[in-house]
Amino acid sequence: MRPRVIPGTTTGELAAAYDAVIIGGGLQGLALAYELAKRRFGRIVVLEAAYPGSGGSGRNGEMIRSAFATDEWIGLFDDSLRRWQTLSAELDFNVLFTKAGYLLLASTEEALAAARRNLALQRRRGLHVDLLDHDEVRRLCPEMAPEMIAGGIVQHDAGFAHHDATVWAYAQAAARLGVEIHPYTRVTAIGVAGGAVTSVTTDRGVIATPVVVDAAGGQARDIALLADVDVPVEVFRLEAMVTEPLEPFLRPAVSSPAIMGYCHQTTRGEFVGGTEPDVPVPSTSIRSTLDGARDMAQKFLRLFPRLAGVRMMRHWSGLVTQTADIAPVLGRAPELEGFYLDCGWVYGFVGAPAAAALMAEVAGGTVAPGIVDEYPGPREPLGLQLRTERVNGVLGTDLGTEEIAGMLGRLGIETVADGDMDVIGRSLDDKSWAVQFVMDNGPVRYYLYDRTAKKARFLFTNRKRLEELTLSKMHPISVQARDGLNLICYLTLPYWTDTDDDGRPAEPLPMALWVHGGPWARDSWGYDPFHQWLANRGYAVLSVNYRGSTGFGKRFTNAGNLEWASKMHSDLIDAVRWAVEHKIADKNKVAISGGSYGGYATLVGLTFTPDVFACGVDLVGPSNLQTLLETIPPYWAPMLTVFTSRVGDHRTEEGRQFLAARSPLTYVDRIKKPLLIGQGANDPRVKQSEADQIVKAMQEKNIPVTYVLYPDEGHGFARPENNLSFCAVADLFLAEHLGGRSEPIGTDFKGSSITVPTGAEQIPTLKDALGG
Amino acid sequence: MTKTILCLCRDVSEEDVRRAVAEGYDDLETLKRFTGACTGPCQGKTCVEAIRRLVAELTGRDLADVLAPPRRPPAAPVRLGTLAAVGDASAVDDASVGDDASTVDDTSLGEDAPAGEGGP
Repeated sequence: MRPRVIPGTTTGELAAAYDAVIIGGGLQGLALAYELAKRRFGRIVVLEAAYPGSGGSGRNGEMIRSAFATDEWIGLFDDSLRRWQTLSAELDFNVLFTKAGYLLLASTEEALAAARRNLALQRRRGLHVDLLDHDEVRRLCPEMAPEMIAGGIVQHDAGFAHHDATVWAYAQAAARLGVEIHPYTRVTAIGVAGGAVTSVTTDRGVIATPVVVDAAGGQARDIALLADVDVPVEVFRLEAMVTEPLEPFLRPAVSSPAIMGYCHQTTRGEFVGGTEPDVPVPSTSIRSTLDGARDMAQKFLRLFPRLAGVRMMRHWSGLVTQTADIAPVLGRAPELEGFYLDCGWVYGFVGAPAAAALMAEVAGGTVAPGIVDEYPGPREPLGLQLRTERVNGVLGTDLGTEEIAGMLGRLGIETVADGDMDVIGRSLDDKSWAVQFVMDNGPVRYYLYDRTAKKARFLFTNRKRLEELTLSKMHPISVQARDGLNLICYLTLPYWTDTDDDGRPAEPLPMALWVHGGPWARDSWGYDPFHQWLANRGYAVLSVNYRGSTGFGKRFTNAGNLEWASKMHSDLIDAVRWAVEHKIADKNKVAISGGSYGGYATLVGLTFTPDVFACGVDLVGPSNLQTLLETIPPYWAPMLTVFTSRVGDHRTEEGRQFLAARSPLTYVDRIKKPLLIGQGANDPRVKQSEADQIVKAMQEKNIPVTYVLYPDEGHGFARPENNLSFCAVADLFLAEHLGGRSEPIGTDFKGSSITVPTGAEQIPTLKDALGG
Repeated sequence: MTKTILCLCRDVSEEDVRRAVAEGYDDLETLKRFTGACTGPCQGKTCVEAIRRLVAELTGRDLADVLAPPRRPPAAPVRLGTLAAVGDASAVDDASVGDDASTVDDTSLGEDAPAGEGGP
């Protein structure tokens, strides 16, 4: 007799015919069998090549949540989460669902900002989620390394379950409803006739069937190919591990994008988790690797340093078949009657209960498939946008390229604006697209595009008040640096000096060089409030994507390594020289300004190249790179090597000398042009001391400086009142030194917390405005 | 009443195994997961042979047909601190991890491991 392997299997022979054959005895296949049987679908068989749960179902991280970032994902996974709450009772088998909570850890401010955005959607969808700050995460996970914690989202009614128990629970529940489960039964062929499936051949004989479901996990693509159905998935290997049991130290399930890892402590005390390499490993092998083991050890120690002395007992691999958008493939294969797909899972463990119920409706044809339509089978990337100077076209596979070119005006469709286009939504039948055009001289414009008529209908803009204003165009230009490197820059001119839109004023203008922060970021084409404000005052405005900026390839970013105040700065000087040579800028009236790195660049401009600029406006810029690196916020600790390899290493004597040589503070005595500094007292990244120390050094040398400090601001000015008040000061400062237009301060300080500890007298009317 | 412990790491008794096999967990892969036997620090080195024999006896199958689960690495438990330092030669002090190891082999324990199974 054949072994039973698990309770609920069939030890007898296969029948000659079934109403449905499910290929794959993992969680998806067994849950679907159960849901179909519940709906009295007929005679159902599940074929499993090894033992049930031998694939991804028994190798996953067994974590459960529905707090995702889009409506479609929340729709599917929250349906599942609701089923998880009562699954043990429904299946009459304890799946050990542990509602210990699920923490989505944010390790950077950027991740926390994204979490905050996601939270709004998750709350709207009724999810039981909260945003936690640093201290709250520490209370929830006291053993977690503080430097990994910026905050996070916790989903209270989520957690984890036992993955094997869930497989057995569904198998037994399905068997009670008459489903046959055949382990160690391998599918070798799928019969097709007249565009429909007819049979499945196994190593134990041929069976006739009108319905085949491919739920074969890591083998799903190979199984579909037996029916000549090409599923757009790639197979990747993931690795996971378990330690010896420990006393309870971690309650919730934790997912950490910063280490690409996920983990939890089981009810038995074992710490279980997996990490993913930065670049996924395409592989159909489930051999575990030493690289994988080391990756997990290193990353989990960063998260939980106390695990250093804890031993890994076991380590294994599993396969995921992954689509381009990592959402599953659910529904009938369009090219083959009777052939259904339930594969492409990355979050298959949490998703199985809902997917099974939905797929049972689809295969049974009883109700409209609803959410399943969000996960169609033929799902390839439609196109790819490149953004260099502008978003320049779309490289598509087959669909969309010509239409999009048409929308860009190249095929003569004139209804559409001269902006950078994005398709932001598509109807289910794909006949209508919602399209946005980012404009440079106005708000974002939204259109409804009818793909049949090839006509776009204007809907609305995102900022109505901007529609009424005459704003300036932004000109992308390309400047060659002295060593030949190509720099993509953006130039904005006062609209009345550029009536022919050629990007050249009638005569050279005073110019503001506006330097982006980061520096690992970039400027892009589009509406820019700083460009518009400064152009309105009569200045040419130039922004430079100097080397080190991102978005132009790794080589360009890495070309900025250890080039602070060196080549990164000479790129700015080369762009200014270009503007002077092309009679755009008046050589004697060029200001340098910017925030964060842009503030540093401003200080570098006035110390390293003291004759180039007429004045400078520094917003939250570091003045001393050594103290900057010594005081980075704890949540930047994971990025420390990025700083030390790109800026300089403050941990070595040689590095400290290097950093001193690249710090404006070292050369304060060279400053001979007016300087305005703006700073937030609570800035966690560039501390107030960065501004304080250069102001103090300048005062000691009797060099004038105006220092504007906000007690309630951080890295930049968040409160509109504060932002407006600083712009009012900068407006007057620039007018004084570049000669442009300005507005009196008037009521611009109202509601702001502005203080001017030093140099108010340097700026006309400022002292009076503060006194009043 | 006497009690025979088969899996010392997980306190799995002979009676536990008999009951699990009677329920239907008669494949060592699933028996291991259901009872927890072979999943402790020794990873079955102590108990797997005894369990194989008992399952063969209970199911009437040939011992050769009752397969031990493929072994998963590491061969012996390794501290995470040691693993994290692999490749950093100065920091490796654990004899169970060789300097020159590039992949951990996940080959099966016996010649009779299921064909085509790379090993969980």
